[in-house]
Amino acid sequence: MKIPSLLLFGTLLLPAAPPSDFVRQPYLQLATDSSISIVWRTSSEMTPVVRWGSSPDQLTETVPPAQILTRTHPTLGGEAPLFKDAPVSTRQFEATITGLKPLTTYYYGIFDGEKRLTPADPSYHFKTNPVPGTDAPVYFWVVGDSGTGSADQAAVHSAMVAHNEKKSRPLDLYLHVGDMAYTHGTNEQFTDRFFKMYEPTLRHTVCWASMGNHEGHTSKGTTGIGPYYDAYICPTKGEAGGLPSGKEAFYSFDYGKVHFICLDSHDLDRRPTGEMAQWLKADLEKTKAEFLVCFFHHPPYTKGSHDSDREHQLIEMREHIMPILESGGVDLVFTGHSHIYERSMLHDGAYATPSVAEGVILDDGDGDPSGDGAYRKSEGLQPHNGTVSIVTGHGGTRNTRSGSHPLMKRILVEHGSCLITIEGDTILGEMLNSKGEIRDTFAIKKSGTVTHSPIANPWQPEPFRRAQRQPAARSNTASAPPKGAVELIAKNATWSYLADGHPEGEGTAWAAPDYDASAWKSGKAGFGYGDDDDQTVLDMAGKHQSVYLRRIFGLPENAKGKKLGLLISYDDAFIAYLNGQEIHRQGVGKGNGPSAQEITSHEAGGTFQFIPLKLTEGILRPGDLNVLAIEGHNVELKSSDFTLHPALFLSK
Amino acid sequence: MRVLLLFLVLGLSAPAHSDLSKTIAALSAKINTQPSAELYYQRALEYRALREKNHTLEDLRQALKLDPGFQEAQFALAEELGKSDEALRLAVQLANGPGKTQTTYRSILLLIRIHRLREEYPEALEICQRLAEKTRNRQQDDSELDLLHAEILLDLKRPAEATTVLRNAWKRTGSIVARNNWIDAALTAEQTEETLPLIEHELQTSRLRSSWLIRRARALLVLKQARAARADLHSALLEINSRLNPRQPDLTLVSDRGLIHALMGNPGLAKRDLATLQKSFLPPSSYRLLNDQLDRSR
Repeated sequence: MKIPSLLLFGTLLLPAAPPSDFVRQPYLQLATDSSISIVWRTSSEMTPVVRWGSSPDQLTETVPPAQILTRTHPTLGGEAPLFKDAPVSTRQFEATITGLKPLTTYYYGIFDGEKRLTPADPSYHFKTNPVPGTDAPVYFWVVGDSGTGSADQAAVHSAMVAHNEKKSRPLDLYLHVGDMAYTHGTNEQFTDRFFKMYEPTLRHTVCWASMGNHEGHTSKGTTGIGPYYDAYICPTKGEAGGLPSGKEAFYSFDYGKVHFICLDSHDLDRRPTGEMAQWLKADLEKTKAEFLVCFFHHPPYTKGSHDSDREHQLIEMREHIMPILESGGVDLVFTGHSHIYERSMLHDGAYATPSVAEGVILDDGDGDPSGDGAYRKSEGLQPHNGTVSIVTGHGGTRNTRSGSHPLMKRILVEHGSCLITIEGDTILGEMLNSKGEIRDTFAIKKSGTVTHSPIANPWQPEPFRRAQRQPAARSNTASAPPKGAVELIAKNATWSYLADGHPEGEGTAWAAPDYDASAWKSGKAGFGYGDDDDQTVLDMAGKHQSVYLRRIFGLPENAKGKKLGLLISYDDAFIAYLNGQEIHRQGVGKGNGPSAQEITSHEAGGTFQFIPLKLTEGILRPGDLNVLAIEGHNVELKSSDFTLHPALFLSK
Repeated sequence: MRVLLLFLVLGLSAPAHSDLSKTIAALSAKINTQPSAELYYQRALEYRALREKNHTLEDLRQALKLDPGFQEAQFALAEELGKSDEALRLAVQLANGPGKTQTTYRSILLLIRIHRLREEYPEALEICQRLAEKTRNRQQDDSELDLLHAEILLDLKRPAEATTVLRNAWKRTGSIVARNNWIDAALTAEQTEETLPLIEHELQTSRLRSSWLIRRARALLVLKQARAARADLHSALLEINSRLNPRQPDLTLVSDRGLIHALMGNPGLAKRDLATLQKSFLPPSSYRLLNDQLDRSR
């Protein structure tokens, strides 16, 4: 049944709020032309029932119980255990629906027995793939290095959703090129930084993923075990087209006339003798698709936050894998890892280290149909007929540029993602930034026979000058407490903290010993987000700019005549109070609390600075309890990180 | 992944880093104030990414000095040390040390690889066979051990046994790599009955046919059908030459082309391709068929 597009977009505009029964809301996996999997998680037992049908109000079919796999914590001894970092009560359900018609939209609902859990909302739908080899346009989203849980990640996603609503064009699929759950790809990080962030899209669009190095902290491509492999159901037996890989770490699938290949660039053998490269070669020999898209994490060409001339995974993907891909006729290569957007000219044979442009650029135009014109290639998959490489590691974490890669035509240091349309004989690529602006457009038109000669001296991007960068944040030099200093508040001490607003009461009353902070939370130092130096990770990115800490401490009997000192790592600024009196400020020009102003940027950089506190005389209360209170401030609301990690010492 | 085994995870903390130099600087600052085995290990991984071998080794050794039982650092150090005695000693230590099943399995695979690098094939084979026996029925979807096992048998010029290992692996896992390696080993062992129909099928269904044309030619040569074999080799050569970028060739195709020349009785051209391969980063096992064919022709 053909679904009126208006109806579909009505659901995109106002999707139903996700129900609270789920730890992970329902999401789609492993779509083929006749089947699909629906996956969800709960925090307790349930009787999983999936009903589906061809209209939202007629879910007439039920998935047979035998086609719903229940996965549990390994200690419960189920047939398909989850990774051990999932809570013991977690249940993951994987329902497979078979016998579907190609290119058809269906609706679904999740039930606990008879109780409906998902709302009766048409946004819970899926569309099957076209039959491999048939003519069907495809429109897909590509994102990388997004899993921070930050406002930037959310903005990139929202921009894509709004853009598609405006264009009345739903996604057919979604590729993620890795680093989707910073910093360690744990079960909890996947839930918070991937599934919650993308939930409205994941309920009706399949995400096909490749593993990044951050997921690689807990998931291993060699064994196929870990939270990443729990999250995804990838084809291993050629279920969705392509040759069986036998491993979820690398796989291929077809969508109409497009063949997609996912590789694991992180922790598998990248040499041509390795299993992955052998499979890739065989898969390329077999496919009869007309377009070829490959995606993996580590970019063969980049000068963003990583340098493809210096780092071994990147060098190996270029030297070992790119020749196989290009002799197989690849059109597009998507990667991440480097936090930037870089899009190449049409190139071939660029395997040398360091990379050079001379003799490897086939077309040095911009590929923009309204500019220099689309890149031209022969129809079908022809070897060495030109590749466009795209680094799309700008999906949500801090962007950085370190140079100008000689293959690149567009280099943009801003958050965003890629939207690709393949229709007829043309690939159209667009980079949509987090503000909803199209910042780059290119096309590849594949028709007839096109013969290229490498350009001896192609166009080159402007050399990158560091002066063009954003002003560098000030950093500090590490310093330690004097020898023999006594620790009054340890580095890993528990503090009371407030990170979701400003304290109640007048002025700095919150810093006084008698202030009632019982409603505040407790957490171990340090506090912050975004730079992986925090024991207590705060959900304040894009929401709150300030954090307040309080900690009671006692003084030893021999404290008289000794001095207090603060050992602190901070990003960006703070004011310290002793028993309600300000004793030190760093990076805050004037004001305090909600009226703090002139805040200076400062990177924690993993270093601690020892600051002798000079204004404590007459404030300290020997023989009584004292309170150290600190307010921390971020330089701006959308800052990508924050750190406040104090400890207190007493010294001669 | 629906698997039965769990992997040991170390609670390492790594920065959500951008460029490696900054990450190294941040780790160095942490090491200066509060050194730990984990921090040295993390910095070693960053140095490894930058191919700074001496620094990598230094940090891994420092990590093990602080925590001699740190298995991930032991693995990394053994892998970094290649075929040295120290690598072998570490791998033996890991294989014999305490660890979960998966860690032990991984350490024994490492030990086999190090023996192979040292060209100690009988030792590698013995450990491989013991591990295969021990893990039978366990790694249903993993062909890694089988592929390694077969490689060692081929190193030892025992293709018939390699054929059995690879065929079983393909049947058990469905791995296309195991299947293709089985076909190659079977042809080396001059077994064509079971493989030829599969080759014919692949020739009919593949877009790029050169590797299957070479395989059919090898089968036809076993069957003493030299003229038909030569026709296949000629077709394969045409396709490969159309796929090769002469300035930056795909070395796997150079290996295939060298084999074609060797099979066609053109040792001069075959040796030219062999020389290209020998100068490259490819390990000799990737052009074993070419080497063997040239040996046979001598």
